[in-house]
Amino acid sequence: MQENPLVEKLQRAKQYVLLSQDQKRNIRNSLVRFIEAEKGNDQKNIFFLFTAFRRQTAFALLILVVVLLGGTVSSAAEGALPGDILYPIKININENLRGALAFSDQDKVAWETSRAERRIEEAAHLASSGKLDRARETDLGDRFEKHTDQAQTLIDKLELEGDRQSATAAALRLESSLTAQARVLRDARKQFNEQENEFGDLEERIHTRVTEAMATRVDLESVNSPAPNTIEKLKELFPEEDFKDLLDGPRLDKNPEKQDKKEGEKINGRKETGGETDMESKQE
Amino acid sequence: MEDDKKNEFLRAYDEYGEAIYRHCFFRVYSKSRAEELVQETFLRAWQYIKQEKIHTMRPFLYQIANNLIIDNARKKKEESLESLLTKSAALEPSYSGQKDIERNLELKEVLGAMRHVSEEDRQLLTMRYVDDLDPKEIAKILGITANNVSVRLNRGVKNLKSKFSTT
Repeated sequence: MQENPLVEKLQRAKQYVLLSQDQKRNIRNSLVRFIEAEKGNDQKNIFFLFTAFRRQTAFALLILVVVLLGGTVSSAAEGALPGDILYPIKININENLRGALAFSDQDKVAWETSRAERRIEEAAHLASSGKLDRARETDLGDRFEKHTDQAQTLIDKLELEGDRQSATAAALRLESSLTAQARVLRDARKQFNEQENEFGDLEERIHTRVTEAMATRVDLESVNSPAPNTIEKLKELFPEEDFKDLLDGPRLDKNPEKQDKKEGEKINGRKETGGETDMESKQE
Repeated sequence: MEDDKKNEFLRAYDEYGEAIYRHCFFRVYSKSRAEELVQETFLRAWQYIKQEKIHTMRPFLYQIANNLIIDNARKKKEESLESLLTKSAALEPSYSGQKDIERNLELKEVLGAMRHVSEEDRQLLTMRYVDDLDPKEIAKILGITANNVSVRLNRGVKNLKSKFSTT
């Protein structure tokens, strides 16, 4: 191969070009994360109708026929609440069909965010008439978490695919819409029971996810510029609101120094730790 | 099943990631761009690997990288050679002092000459002498005959030589 000194030179020079160990590891980690994120999505996309049928069995099949014939049941189901006969149609058929129409990851993440919002909205409706019992609250909470998890996975995927801007926007939207819905739920509870001023189970779960979305967003933003104050940002979005309510609630940790540190750690370790986060507060 | 594919894919990365990086670097002259291309190449490769068995991984990966480089050819501004070489610690962190300077000069000379040959020559020269692919493999990647590769390579080496004497 030593045709001439020139080629030798070229072959020697190439040895000086090396991928640093750090960078090699970084790329490897991104690839692994991408594969994991994709795995989660594929499973849900392909089998959604299938699992819906299995769960609702003959009843759902029958209703689906009606839906396909007229669409009236489907639209009637839109306003259904947990406990209503049409509620399973709303969440298993209407929403899955709509989800199937979201093709891009941006559309999908927007839809998952909406679904998460809808669950809180339903909880609020029930709460305002005192019908939000423990079983329903748990069930709505489970569904709510499923949708936010999926939204988070999609945000990670957007980020990995290099669309940082969409990922940031999606995380911000998730964060702000959950914050807003959480307040609606609180108001609804108060409406029914003046005395009730506690964080319910659902609020706690919402809060965990809001914190997570916030961490994602701060994480995404901090790559290019230092992270802005999250509370400032929220105030900008909802100028008339007082965030003491949501963020410094009665159950939150009272030690600000420790709290800040914890928050920082979580942001860095987000990818590894996944969903579970403690209740954390932000200090103004 | 899924995990087997995943492991096979990650093994391919461990084995060829570095080589693909080198190829990309000689084609785009930018460390950061080359790193991006490595990631893109393997993401693209995964889309195939998860569905079907890839028998010859190495040419397959070069083929993807090559296509990506051509697709993105003018999208990103090339980093200037000067700025690239002042950041040369990134090229090989373990070199230092006099040796570092010598090696840098050598690399600079080669990169300088490579930069001035045509995109097509650079593609072939990189595959042959940086990646050590033989003409048959190159032919497969580019979809031309091995004979054609040899002819073009000859011409490429001549062109490169003329650039060496002028730089």
